[in-house]
Amino acid sequence: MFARTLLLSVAAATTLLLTSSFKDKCESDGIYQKALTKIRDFNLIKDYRVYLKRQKKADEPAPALYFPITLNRGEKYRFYGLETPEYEGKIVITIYNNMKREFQVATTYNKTTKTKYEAIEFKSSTTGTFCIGFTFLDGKEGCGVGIASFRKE
Amino acid sequence: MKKTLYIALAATALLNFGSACSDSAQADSEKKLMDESASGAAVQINREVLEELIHTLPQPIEMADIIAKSGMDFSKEILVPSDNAASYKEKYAQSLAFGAYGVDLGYINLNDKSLYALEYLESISKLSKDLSVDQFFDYSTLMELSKNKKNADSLIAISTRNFNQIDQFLREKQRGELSVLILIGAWIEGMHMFGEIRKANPNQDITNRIGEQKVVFENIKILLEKLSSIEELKPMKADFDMLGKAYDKVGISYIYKEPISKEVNGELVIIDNTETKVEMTPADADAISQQIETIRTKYLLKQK
Repeated sequence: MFARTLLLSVAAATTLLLTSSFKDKCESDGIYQKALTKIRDFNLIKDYRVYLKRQKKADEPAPALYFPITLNRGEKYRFYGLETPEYEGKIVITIYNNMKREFQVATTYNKTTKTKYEAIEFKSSTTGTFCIGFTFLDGKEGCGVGIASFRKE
Repeated sequence: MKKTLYIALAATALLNFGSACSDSAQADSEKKLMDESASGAAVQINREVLEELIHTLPQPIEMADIIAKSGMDFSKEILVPSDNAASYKEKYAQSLAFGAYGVDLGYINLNDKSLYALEYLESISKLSKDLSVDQFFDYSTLMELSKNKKNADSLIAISTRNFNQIDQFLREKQRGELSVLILIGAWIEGMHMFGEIRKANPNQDITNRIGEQKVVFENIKILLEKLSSIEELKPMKADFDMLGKAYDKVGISYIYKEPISKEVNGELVIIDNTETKVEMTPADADAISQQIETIRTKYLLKQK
């Protein structure tokens, strides 16, 4: 239990430190409003403000932010990402099956075809805690907003 | 190692306070919340762990959505009475009620029953003042919107945004325990409604829905464990421990299967194929619902 707490603390502290200068450098309120207009037939659940620095070395993983998210069986979700034009980075959203990120269930970037999508629509067949990850394409510095929403009836 | 961690956490806290930018109303609320922290009303809990776990709890609007989609006829009787708002005397009870009313308001709006929205907006507004977060609650706009049934979508969008802002604000101001309680209040209300749906139409689907919420319950249990240093919350932890005994009988297993991906009108659509097996009996669902009712009655109904 203590080890888990310590691990979570270090991970979250690192996350906060990585984003500590976020409010000074990344002004995302404008694109947040724009992103809300793009979710159309979906209702907002929550938004994620993301600022990440450039990847330092090519052989290192690109900086990323991860958050747990509980999804419900039978619900259709839409995850939409938008970045500010002030930074080069294009936002990529990836959904993993759990917080251990054992495997990827959906992503807005297809590495094979090099296609980047603005959004993923995801129909969940289970109620469970998934993981939503944000990164910027090619590890570039970026500032953006991710929106999680569910389908209106 | 520990020392490094403490330095990192302290630095993080300082950086976050340093970057705050307040208008006067927000500054007043921040002062109130900070005064409470200084006087010992707030118990410092591990903020980072809380940040991680809090993301796993469903938002009020998500609970309301599942219920609205269940097909059950709208019933105002299943909601927490709106005039209860004045009876919650301390912050923890107010936070729980704030979350429960959030589900009730979502349920009203998703069912297009805007004639009831106003009284629930008033209750939420009252509690937002009690909790010193009223600067984020756009009462006048929401009240205007509630006058017209056609505005239900905007009402949902703005109230959800307001709830998110309040959650963020409380966590930034080291009052994350109030955020947790808001979400627990929402979960209790949602679970109560699942129980009502099951009473009206008992079937395996709704029984499973109650069982599947074990995923959320497990995280609430950890959060309440972390909050148990707050004296006032010890009875609630004990009540949730009883709920844990009912949930112990529920087994959930997953069979992971490759999702289907397809492009529809230039957008990516993913259909999850994972199968969930919920092992529980109707009696297990009854036991869970009974304990939920005990908790709801104690914390949301009997405050006067």
